[in-house]
Amino acid sequence: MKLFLTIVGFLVLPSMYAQELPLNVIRMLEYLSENIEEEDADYMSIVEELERLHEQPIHLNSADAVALRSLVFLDEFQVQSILEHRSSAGRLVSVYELQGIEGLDAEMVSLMLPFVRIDAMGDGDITWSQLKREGRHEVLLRAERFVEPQAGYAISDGYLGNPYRLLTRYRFRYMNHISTGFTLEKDAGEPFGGRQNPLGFDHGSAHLYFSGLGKIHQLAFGDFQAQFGQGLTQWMGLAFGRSGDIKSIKRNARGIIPFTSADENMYLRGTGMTLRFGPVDVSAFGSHKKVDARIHADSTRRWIQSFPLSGLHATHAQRETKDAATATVCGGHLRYRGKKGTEMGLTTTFTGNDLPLLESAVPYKSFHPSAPTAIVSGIDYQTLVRNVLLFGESSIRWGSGGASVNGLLVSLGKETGIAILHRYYSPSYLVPHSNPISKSGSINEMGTYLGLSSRLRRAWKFNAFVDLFRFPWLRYQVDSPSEGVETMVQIEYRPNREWTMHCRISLQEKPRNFVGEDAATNEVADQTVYAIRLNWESNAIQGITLRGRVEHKITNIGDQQGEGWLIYQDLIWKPAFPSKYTLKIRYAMFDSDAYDARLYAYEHDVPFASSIPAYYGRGCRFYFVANYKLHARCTASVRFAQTYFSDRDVNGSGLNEMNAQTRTQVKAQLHFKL
Amino acid sequence: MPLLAIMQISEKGFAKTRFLPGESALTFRVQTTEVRNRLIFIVFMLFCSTTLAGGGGKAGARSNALGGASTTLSDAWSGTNNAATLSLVTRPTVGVSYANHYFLPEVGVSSLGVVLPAGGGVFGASLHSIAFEGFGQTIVGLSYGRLLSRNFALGALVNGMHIRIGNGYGSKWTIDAAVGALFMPNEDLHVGIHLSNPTRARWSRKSDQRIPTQLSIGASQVLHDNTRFFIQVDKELDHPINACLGVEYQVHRALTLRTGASSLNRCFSLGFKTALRRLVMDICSRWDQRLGFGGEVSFSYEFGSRKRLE
Repeated sequence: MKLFLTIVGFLVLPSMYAQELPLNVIRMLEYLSENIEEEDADYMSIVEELERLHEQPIHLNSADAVALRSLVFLDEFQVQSILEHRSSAGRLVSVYELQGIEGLDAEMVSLMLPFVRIDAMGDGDITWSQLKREGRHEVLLRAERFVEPQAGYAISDGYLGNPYRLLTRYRFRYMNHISTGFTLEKDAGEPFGGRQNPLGFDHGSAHLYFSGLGKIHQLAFGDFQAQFGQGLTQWMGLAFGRSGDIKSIKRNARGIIPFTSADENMYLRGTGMTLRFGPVDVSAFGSHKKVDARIHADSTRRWIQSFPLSGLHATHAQRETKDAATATVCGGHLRYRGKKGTEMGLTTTFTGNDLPLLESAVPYKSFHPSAPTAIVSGIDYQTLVRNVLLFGESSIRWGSGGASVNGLLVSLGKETGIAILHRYYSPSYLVPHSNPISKSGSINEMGTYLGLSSRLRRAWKFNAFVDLFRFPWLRYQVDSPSEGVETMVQIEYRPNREWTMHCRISLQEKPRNFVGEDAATNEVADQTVYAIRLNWESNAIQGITLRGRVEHKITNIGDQQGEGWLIYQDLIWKPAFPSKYTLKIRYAMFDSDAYDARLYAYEHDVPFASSIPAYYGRGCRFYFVANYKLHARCTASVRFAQTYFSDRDVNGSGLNEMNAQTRTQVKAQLHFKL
Repeated sequence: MPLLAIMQISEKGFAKTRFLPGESALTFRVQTTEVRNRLIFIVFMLFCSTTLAGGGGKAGARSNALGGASTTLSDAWSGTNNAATLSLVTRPTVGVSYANHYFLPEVGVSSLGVVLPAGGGVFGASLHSIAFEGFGQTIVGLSYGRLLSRNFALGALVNGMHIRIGNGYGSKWTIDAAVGALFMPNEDLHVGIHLSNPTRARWSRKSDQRIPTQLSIGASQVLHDNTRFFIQVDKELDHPINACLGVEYQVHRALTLRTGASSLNRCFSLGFKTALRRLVMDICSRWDQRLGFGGEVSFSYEFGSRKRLE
């Protein structure tokens, strides 16, 4: 009822307007994100930033390197080319001048166009009238649930609340200068109101953020994220991993940024500030907040056993972990920005918990430090020498271990690039908030990545990478030091603007514990994963995008083999301007006989959400997403997704078990822009 | 339960034929009535997943000559193959077809296809029938296809399906549907998508006697003026993926040669088309690696004047 009243309340608000990201940008995001292979990766911040830029484009004549880097598809060479062009040839007079800039091809320019503009409107001092005129209020209301009853709602010690997931968000933004807002969220199964959760929503977050106000480059109150350097010392928020897109191996840190997504852990609560003195930036931040923790206690003492990151508080056991510990994080960052892309940074962070960590006897944690506090310092750099960009970061957790990541990107003309990255993360480098390029986290790994990207001929593009990695110590479910390799080759064919096809072949060998048929103990064996994918996309028909894929995967470990197939066809119907609606439909068939042979594919979702579910088992899946512009400033979205399993009568497990062959999710969203 | 029993027997039958590597299907002689019946069941199950699979069928000698790459074919059998391709049929057309497989008269399939262009689109009707003493199945389909723009068409098919099993088991009617789309980015390239039984209709709600649900995605490209190349993938819910390839080469105005192959049934096919004015004859011969030879002959006749629908 509360939700209903809230929705009705917002429906009578004055009208607002909404825009959707161009399809080629969505495709690029899909490409980058498909390597993440996480069901609920946090895309909200990156999609939201692009949506903001779509609406309030970057001013090409005044943008600095940091602003240009927020266009995630630009690499450092392209950013520096634009800056250099501006300093040598003067102000740009038209966005079409971009095509003449070295390193930018027509494809890149078409990606950039929706996000950049030439006029200088909005620069300079901020006035109240500007705030009122150009400030944007945004409200997002979303509800979703599974249709089939889940086991956890039928038993007394199961889920405490109802099966709806609810999200409410308000945000006000003025250009990139001011942002404020709040997010309230309740996951499925969490209680809403009542004795268990008198505040209603299970999780709440709010922020007030200023940027580009004279010397105050960034200023955050409330909830924010901090990311610096190459992510080795301090990085919160989404980051793309190793992929065929070689530029994604270099992190582009955004400093202190507002936190707006519904993640319940990966943020700081307190205040953070970056001051800018010419080429020098000085950042400081402090955070003090409750965190979820699993507590181990005896009659006299309490320890933190682990930090659950799911953000779920739907059962008694999960609610016990909610806000069970307090974490204090503070830190500082000093950055020097020289000419031609040369930058250096120094970061130090302190993280402390109110309870000590429980020492674990598990062998793979032998080198994990047990001190309740962590002080981490790191130094990062990047410099451009002719056509070679060198970058890296080296960090140390005082009293424990060190880590270093170093790479170079070589630009061989407009169309060809090479990337090399070496990383070493010692088995004792356990750092709370890091997210560097890696195979599996920022601890106990060394590896070398070599990537190549080239346009062979006009219509053909070639991407490939090889990543060799070694784990010097044991890992979770790998009972010996181990090593592996990951390779990928992709050939893209684009005969004209309307058709794109790519074929991707990947091979992975990764170590894992394996119990043979007659064996009494584990042995560590190499699991081989081979996959081939054929993907096609066509925009040949006005208003309709067609996209399809056939993918095959084979896994081998010991004498066990798994095989998976996925075939799907998407149809995206987006009538020409000024259409009121878009419709996205997928029908997929999948067939995998082992969990390791499951296949992942990006799925369209309501705006500001996206998912990359695993297709596992045998069956078919259908979804549609419909967006309808109720009013110039209000968009309603509905999503219906159903998976049918033909190989089982019960799907899901534990409390999520459904006594049905289908798994159906419905989602509805209202988005207002004022 | 009767269909379940058939499936169990057929699985045994598959195993048996697979473990007789030295014996060619051509020389495979039916020795006893029991084995003969079993073989009939095997072949019947093959039909269930191909020819008589409701909307997922591949009808007509042309489709089978091209290895089953049927989603972009536009002819008298369009209603069954992909209803969206009906929209390209410009004249009223009637076709009859008979397919015989593995020299077993019991599993011969007779088909009738009618296509009728009208003002608001193109209508189709189809009939497929297989019958012998202990078993009979009939599928009556009504289909409709329409061009929504110069290069995009949609279509739908509704099938009424009847099954009769002897020895007192009785008979049953059910309904399933299929949807299809056809995209024509240019004159030479056609892309067809056909989804049969998306609602996962069953013979009975009480048991898992399903009608196949199949997604087919195919394309055809004119390579030279007289050669057309076909490619298609099919995925049926409970079967492995099937890849089909086909080539059609027009030697003369009155003679077209065809060949094709499909991976799941391990079939290789050859065929030709010959036309006498408006009467077209298609003949196809299939070689199934496990079960042997089969053949199909289709006749179709075009009536009336050409009517292009926009």
